[in-house]
Amino acid sequence: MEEGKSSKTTSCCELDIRSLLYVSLNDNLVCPICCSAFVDPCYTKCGHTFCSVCLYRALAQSQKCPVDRGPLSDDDICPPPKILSNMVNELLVYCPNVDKGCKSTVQRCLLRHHLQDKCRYTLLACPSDACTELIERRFIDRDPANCFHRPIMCPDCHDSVAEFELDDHKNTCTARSTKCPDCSKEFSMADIKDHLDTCSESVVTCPANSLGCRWSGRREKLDSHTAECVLTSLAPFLDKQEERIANLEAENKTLRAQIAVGGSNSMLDSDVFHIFTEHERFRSELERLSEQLGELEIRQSVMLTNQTVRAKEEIQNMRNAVNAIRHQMHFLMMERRTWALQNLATSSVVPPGAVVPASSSAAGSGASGGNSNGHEEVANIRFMRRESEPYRQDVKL
Amino acid sequence: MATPQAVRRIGRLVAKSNIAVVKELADINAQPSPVYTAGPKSDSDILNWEVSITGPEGTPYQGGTFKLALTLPPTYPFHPPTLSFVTKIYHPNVLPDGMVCIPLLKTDQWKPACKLVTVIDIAVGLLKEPDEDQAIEGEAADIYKVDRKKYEKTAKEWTKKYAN
Repeated sequence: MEEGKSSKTTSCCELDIRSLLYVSLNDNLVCPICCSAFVDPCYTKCGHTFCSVCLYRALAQSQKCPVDRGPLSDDDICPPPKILSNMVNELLVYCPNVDKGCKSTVQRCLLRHHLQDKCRYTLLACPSDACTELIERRFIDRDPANCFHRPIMCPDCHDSVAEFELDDHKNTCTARSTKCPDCSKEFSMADIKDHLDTCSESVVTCPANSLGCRWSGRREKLDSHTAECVLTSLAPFLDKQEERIANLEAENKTLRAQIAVGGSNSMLDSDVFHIFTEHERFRSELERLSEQLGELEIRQSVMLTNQTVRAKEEIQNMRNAVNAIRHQMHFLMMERRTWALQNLATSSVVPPGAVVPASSSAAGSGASGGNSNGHEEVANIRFMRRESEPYRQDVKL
Repeated sequence: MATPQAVRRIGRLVAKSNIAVVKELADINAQPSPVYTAGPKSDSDILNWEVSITGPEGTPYQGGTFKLALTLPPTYPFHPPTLSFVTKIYHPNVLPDGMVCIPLLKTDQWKPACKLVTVIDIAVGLLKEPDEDQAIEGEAADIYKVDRKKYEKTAKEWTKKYAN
């Protein structure tokens, strides 16, 4: 019992992950050393991934990366990204008892659980106290108190067989006899297979069944049927035709694929070329236009400044001229007033040449002329203002 | 009577034998090469392989079939395998006792990520074109360097004589 129990525990823990059969395995998840999916992967500074066990074993031989042979020490190894560990742990594997009949596929990380608690084919210690053998779980489930290692006599061949093996033995026991379902004769298990292929009583179909012949009957009548059956005689010819058609279809398919690829390619190329040339043309035109626009803008602004400067100058000149005229008028008015005042005083006639000297002096220096007559202005300020208003307005107009 | 315990013991032996070798053998069987066949000599000893290479066309070895022995150490793939010709061959890279000079198979050059397929491919490559730089001391190597025509003639004769 003790031994049985210890074996029971080891049978579960002894799981060799590397010998598992995977449902599908990405080549990127395979360790380059042991050629199986990563087990407890680790990651080197040179970017390679290995199973930890494999890598440390390789480093014990030489301190080089097993892939690129670059120098590598224990310090250059780090745990892999979590996602990698998860990916390898979630890989689907076939139960190691697949040979015995377990059809389950489980995630690799759950396999231990499956074997320990679920798999019906896991070997467990025999429930009988007297027995030290192991027995599959399905037998224990069937009868938890029974020891299935008890030898039993096979009723046919009289060999002693363990009880749990009896089911399998019945299918293979050569001494066991069975009846042919067609001719009802008895045959041993070893011979029945050969007999079924040749039994003259069994019902068979015409070999040209796939070509449409619906005949079926006893095997002994098959020969006479095939002698008459048109389809059977045609069969070799039809088979050959079918093969030829299949070949032609395959060839046709490849040719069509080639044409499709070639046709679409050439069209694509010319289209793309056309679009590219158009694009290039538009780009150069755009460049030309934007250049022209810039040039025009510069020219415009230069012209504008030139014009403005000239206009400003002209305005200044005109303003100066207007000022000069105003002073001249002023001077003349003053002259006239003083003359009028004197006239009033003396009751004489106004001299006609008074305007001429005044205008010549005002053209030279209008401003100084205004200043030199300041005292007269102050003296008659009230009068002058009243009189000068209408003249000023005349000048402005 | 095979008890489950006995079955389990055998299973454990199989499991303890080199998984990497088993996987590589499965890969080779899954994608057989037209140029060579390779596999263990017997099912019980997975570490002694027999490789059979067909002489490449256009070489003096054309028409011959060359048998090689590929011996794996129990520590494979951590130690390199050894490769030697069983069939006598006149080749600048093969010693008279059949040992092949492949740098990869030296202990300091070997890397565990190398596969047996790679080793066999190198051997096939050597048959296609001998590696003059790796030529070892021997008659074939000397003549290969000096008199190519004589080498080809002798190699053809040996192929006819030993590799048919």
